[in-house]
Formats: sequence, C-alpha cells, structure tokens
Amino acid sequence: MRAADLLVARRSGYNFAFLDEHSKREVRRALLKAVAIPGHQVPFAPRELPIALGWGTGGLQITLSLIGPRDVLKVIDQGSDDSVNAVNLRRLITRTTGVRTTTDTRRATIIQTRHRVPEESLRADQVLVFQVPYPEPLRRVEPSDVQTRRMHAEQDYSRLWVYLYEDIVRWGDVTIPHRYPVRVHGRYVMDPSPIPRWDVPKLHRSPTLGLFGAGREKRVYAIPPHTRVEPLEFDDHPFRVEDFGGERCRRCGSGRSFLSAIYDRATGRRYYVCSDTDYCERRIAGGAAQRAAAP
Amino acid sequence: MTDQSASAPILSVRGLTKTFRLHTLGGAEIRGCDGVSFDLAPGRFLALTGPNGSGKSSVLKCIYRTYLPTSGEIRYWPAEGPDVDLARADERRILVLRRREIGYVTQFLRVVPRVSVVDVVAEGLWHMGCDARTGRQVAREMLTRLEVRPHLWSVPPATFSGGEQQRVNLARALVLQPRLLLLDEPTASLDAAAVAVVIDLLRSLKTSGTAIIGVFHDVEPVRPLVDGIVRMQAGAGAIPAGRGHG
Amino acid sequence: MSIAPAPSAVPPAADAQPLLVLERLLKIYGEGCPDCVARTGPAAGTNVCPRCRSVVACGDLSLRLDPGEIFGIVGESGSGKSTLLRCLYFDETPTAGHAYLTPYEAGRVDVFAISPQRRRYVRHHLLGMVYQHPHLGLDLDTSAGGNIAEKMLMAGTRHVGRMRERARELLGRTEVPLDRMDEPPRRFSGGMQQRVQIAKTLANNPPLVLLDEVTTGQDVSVQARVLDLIRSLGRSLGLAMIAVSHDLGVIRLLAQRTAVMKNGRIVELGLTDQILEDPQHPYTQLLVSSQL
Repeated sequence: MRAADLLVARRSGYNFAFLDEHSKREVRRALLKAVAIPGHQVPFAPRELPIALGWGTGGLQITLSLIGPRDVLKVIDQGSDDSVNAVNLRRLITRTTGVRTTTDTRRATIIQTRHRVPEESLRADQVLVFQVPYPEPLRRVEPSDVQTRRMHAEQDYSRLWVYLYEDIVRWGDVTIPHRYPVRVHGRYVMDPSPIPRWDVPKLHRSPTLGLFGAGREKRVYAIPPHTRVEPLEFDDHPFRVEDFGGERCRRCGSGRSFLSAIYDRATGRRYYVCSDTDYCERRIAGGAAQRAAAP
Repeated sequence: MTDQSASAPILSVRGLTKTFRLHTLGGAEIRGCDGVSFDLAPGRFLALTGPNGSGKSSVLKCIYRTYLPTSGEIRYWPAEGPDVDLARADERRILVLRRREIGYVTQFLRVVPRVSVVDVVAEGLWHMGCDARTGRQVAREMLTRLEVRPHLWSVPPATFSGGEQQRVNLARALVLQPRLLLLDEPTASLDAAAVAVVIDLLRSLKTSGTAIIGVFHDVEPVRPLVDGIVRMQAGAGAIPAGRGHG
Repeated sequence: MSIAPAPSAVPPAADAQPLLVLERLLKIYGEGCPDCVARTGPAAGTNVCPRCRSVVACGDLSLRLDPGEIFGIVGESGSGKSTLLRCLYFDETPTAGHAYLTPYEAGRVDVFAISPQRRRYVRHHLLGMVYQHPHLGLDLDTSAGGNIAEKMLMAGTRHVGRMRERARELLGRTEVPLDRMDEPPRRFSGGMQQRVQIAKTLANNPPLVLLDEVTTGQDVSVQARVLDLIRSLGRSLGLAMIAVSHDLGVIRLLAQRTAVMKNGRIVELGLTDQILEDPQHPYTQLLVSSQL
C-alpha cells in the first residue's frame, strides 16, 4: 500500500516533499548550524509554498527538508490532530510524499506541532518540529533587530530580566502565559514558541531533538537532545506552571495534562478537556479501571 | 633669619618669588613677593607683616600651592618620608599633605550650600578616616571652644556674620591639628574676646608642635605668641625682624 | 574572570597604584590623516583638521587618577571634555590610546583593547556614569527601582527581594521618596530624575564614577542639592570621580584637581584652587576672568 501511495505522490508532478533537493539541503545546513549552537537563531531563506506566511511555513519547511519515505508523520495544532491547520499541512505533506501518518504520538517519527508539546514523553528516535510565529524573545523589550543581535552576542539580557522584575513588582509574579523565555545550554535566551508554561519543563534535557522554524521571520533554531533548557526565574520567585485548580478532563478524567476550557452554551458553564487529543483518546481507550486509578 | 631655637626646621623657604603674568592684559606682570627667605621650626610662630600689596598672602599661598611659585624653594619636612620642595612637588602629593599635615585658614569662609556648620568642621576629619559620629563630636567640641552658639551648629553658615563665619573657618582648620598651619588675617573680623580664645587655641597647638605662619596687618593682638617676624615690603624682598634674631 | 593580558601590557607602577591611567587618548571623527593632531588644538584654535576636515575631538590626552580622588575637567563647548568621558565609558570607541583600571586585571590590561563582552563587564562593575540628561542614563518608563535593579541584574543578581532592598537603600541615600520606588521616572521632576540616575550608578559600588555636566540646566536649588549629594556620597563611599563641567563654581565645589581643556587638548592641569586663583595658561586666565 505504501508503494502505491509513493507512486501517487510521484505522479502528482511534485518533487518528493514538494521542495527541490537543493533547497532541502540548504535548510538542513541551516538546521545543522542551529543544532551546533543551541538556542541561537539561524537565518534562512524560505521558499514559495502553497500555504501563506503565518500559517506554519517555517515548521513545514523543516519537516519537508527532513522527511523520508519511511517516516511516520503526526501533525497537531494546539494539541489536536483534527484542526483545519493540522489537516491542511498533513494533506500537503502526504500528497507530495505518500508517507504514513498517525495520530498516535508514540508511533510518529516526525511530529510537527503548533503551540503545544505532546503530553506523551518523546524518544530519541523522534523529532519534534515547532511552528514559530515570533522567534525573537527580546522583541518584548527591544524593537530593533540590530540591538537584539548585539544583545544575544554579548549575552546582554538585562532588559528582559528587568521586564520580568517589573511584572513581579506590579503583579506579584511573571505574567507571561506562553512564549516564556528560556535559557538554552546556559547561553542563548530563546523563545520556545507559543507553548504554554505547562510544556516548558518538558524541553529540559529531553532525549528528543527539537527544531523550531519561523517562515515569515526567516529563522530556524534548535534544541539538541539532552540540553539544558531553563526558564528565566528569580531565586525568590521560581518558575511555575499553570494551576488548573483541581479541574479534570471531562472526557478522560486526567488531572495531569494541560486542559482547554470549553464554554458550554447549553448549560452556560465552563468545562475542561485535555488539549492533547491523542493523549485523551488513549486514556479513554485505556478503560474505566485506569480512569479510576488516575490521580 | 632663622629662629634661634635649636630644633631642625619643618619649613625652609629660600628666595621665594611670585610674579603674575596676565595674558588677558597683554602679558603685564604683577609682582607678588620677591626673594623671601626664612626658616620655621616646629612649635614656632612666625608672623608675616607689612602693608597691603607687599605680598604677605602670596607667600602663604605659595606655600599652600594655591599659587605656583615663579622661583625659589619651599622645603618641607613631612611626618614621614623625605623632605619635599612644595614649589615643585606633584599635585597628588600636595593633596595628601594638605589633607593630613598642612592647614590653611583663609581670610573668609568659603560657603558650601546646604552643608551645616558641624559638617563643615568635621569634613576634614572624615577625610582623614574618622567616622561620621566621632568627627561631628570633635567638631562640636571645637565649636564650643570657639564660642559658636550651639543653635547654629545644624545650619549652613551662609547667613552668619563675618565674625561667626571666621570662627567656623578657624574651627575647620584647627580641629585637624596640622603640623604646619598657615593663617591669613585670622583675627581680622573677631572681637577681643574671640581673639583671646583663638590665641589660647594657637598656644596649645604650638605646645603640641604645630608650626604656624600668620599674616597680620596688625600683629599686636597675637604678640604673646609670636616667635619671629618677617616684615614684607611692597616691591622688594622681605626683611625678617623681631625678637631675638635678625 | 581569568583573562590573558593583552599584548600592549603595562607593568604596575612602583609607588601606590593610581585607579586610572589614561594614555594619549585620541578621538577623531572622520577619516583622519597624518596632519590631524599637529594642525589642530588650542594653538591652531580649531578642532577641524585643515587638510582632511576630520574633527579631532580629543588629541593626545593623558591623566592619572588616584582612588577616592575627585578630578574636574572644565572647558567650553567643543573642548572635548564630554567626548573624553564617553570614551572612558565605552560610549565611543577611541581612535587611539590606552586606559588602565587597577581593579581590572591589576591595571595591566588596556581596557580600550578588550572584547565587547569584557568591556561590558568593566562598564557595569567598575564604572558609573551620570549623564546631563537623565533619559540617557535611565529608562524613563521602567520604575525607579527597576532601573536600579537593571544594574544589579547586569551583575548577575537574581533575587528580587535583595534588589528591592538595595534599591531602597540607594534611593534613601539620594533622597528619593521610597513610596515612589515603583513609579517610572518619567513622572518625576528633573532633579529627582537626576537623583535616581545617581542611585542607579551606585548600584554595583563602582570605584570610579563619571559625571557629565550633571547640574547644567537645573535650577540653583536643585543644583545645590545634587552637588551636595555627590560630595557626601563621594566622601562616604570613597568614590573616585571625574566631573566634567563648563561651570567653574561646580568644579571648585567638587574637584581637588582640575584639567582645563580647549580644542581637544588639556591646556592646564593642577590643583583646583591653583587653577582658579593662579591660572597660568592664557585660555585658563580668560575662562576664570569671564566667570560671573
């Protein structure tokens, strides 16, 4: 069956994975440089795609440059395999490659994601590709590219630290909800993309290669496996993840995953479900016994 | 010229000449002092007298290095280390000597805004390493001796009378107990009672070894303290005269 | 930081080591040519090289500063005094010259020749700068406490409570009301902005503080307050300072030694009272006699 899929892809008239081989190689070169300098933003020149800028073209080009016939692809958007964005990207990739796809995180070799890290712990044989809207963590405090480049080069992150200090003074804690700045390998401060704070600890010393692509902003960066990834925090105000106040997923009962709030128009009340749909499904499939045992 | 006492001098001035060259007046020259020479031993009081314009203040200012001497030598023996020619010494050296050993009472107090009388007097002590509290304490004691009224101590002296300001000025220098003290008309604005207090203070400084040079247009009030007189003449060198020596 | 000495190393002086040694600072704006230095200066009456039209802002400036000493630099516009300060604070890159700071590598390494990262270390740990205009030294939209915290953050402090305590201490010393600590200085008066700037400068206890016309343009009462503050801080903290001003009154109040600058050169250097009462150089005499 797979051979037939590959044949369909060939007959579609596109090169395997849409991009020409030279472009893919150049993107891989940029990625190698990014891996060699963890957290450092490497410029690259995006290609024309049938997807508009701002819709995941950076992550897409990374995936297209890496994917091979034997890969198994998963694409999620806010944790869900079914959103329009995820579906479209997946369709483009499979149409031009014929590779197998899956919603099961454990079975994927390449996972392209928008704004979430799967709940399931990832392995060394998997690659996690992030779609990044704004790669520059210092943009909050500095509009000029010339200045941010200098600040990264000189490890001058004090203005960002002052921003965090002011948050604490004004609100008692850092109020950044997603894109929480992290320090990678003790050197570069990086924007982990709009993942929630919940997901930030998963990046620390993960066995999985993390690749970040910003097509519109023309940057890629990387977190190699087993790299230190530490959120910026103060000694007396440590980093905290979201607190759901004891709420659980209405569908699977989990109290240990990142929850999305859904507003029920019928009852007028809010309920919570797991953002990671695959994780949720698997827990449901796991049965009542497991549901009872869940913390 | 030399005081007859046997002790070695602390200050030895030879041929001190000061001429001002005013470029703003096309290079016109004005004579300050000319060929002044004298020695001064520790614990001795030398008076510089003479009419206005004879260069008395110039001599003091040359010793203190407010003026750069045109020629001559001003040899000073500090508490530690070799003797130094104040006329040619490095500024940084002069600053150390001024802070620690050489005191100067100007004719008028230079007022610094917002600084209280106590702080004005204590400042020199602080620069010598004294802590704030002790410095102020010693300052108050000196102000008491000079009969500056206590209710004035926390006030900046800008609005004081001339006499009161001068007493603050004296306090500021005397409290440091310098080895060499230069006085420029120190008693000019003081009444007799204040003068008596000052004489008392100067006497005890002399006893503890301070060498003193004072400029006076009228020496009589301090005559009891004076060990030697150098009479300055306008336009010519100094003629030393006075008790016991020529 | 253990850093190998730069090639142009200078052995330490035999006597008590000065805090700062500046050697032959040269700052030229423009291409420069071999005639630039010789054909500009007070004798030529201009900063502009007649041959290549470059501006020699600072020509061949040298000075030594002792720890705890307050040094004044006086001159009119175009004298180069502010450029000198900016070069010392690395706001400008000198065209030539060397500077040695004793607290950095025992004064053996030329701080003009080190990498930008090391310059940043020197700038934030060993130097302080108070600018004439507070907006140059402060972020007017960050709180007063935040401005001070920024200095400490640059030095690696990561404890909010400790930074706020230090900020309170410094603002108290500079007579800024503590209940305004979390307000942005944009809302403060000019004098208070200046005092916040001074507090910020002192955050990391730098041994040398540079003051660039810090009282110029202020009301007299504000000037008096700022100057009084500078004097007492200098005394209690043992700071060395270089104070630049065109106002001889300010120089007389603050400085023990003074340099007079004209057309990018030092024309006279000496004890402040000597400069003011017995000026030698024609320009100094002109300056002193022109003051109100």
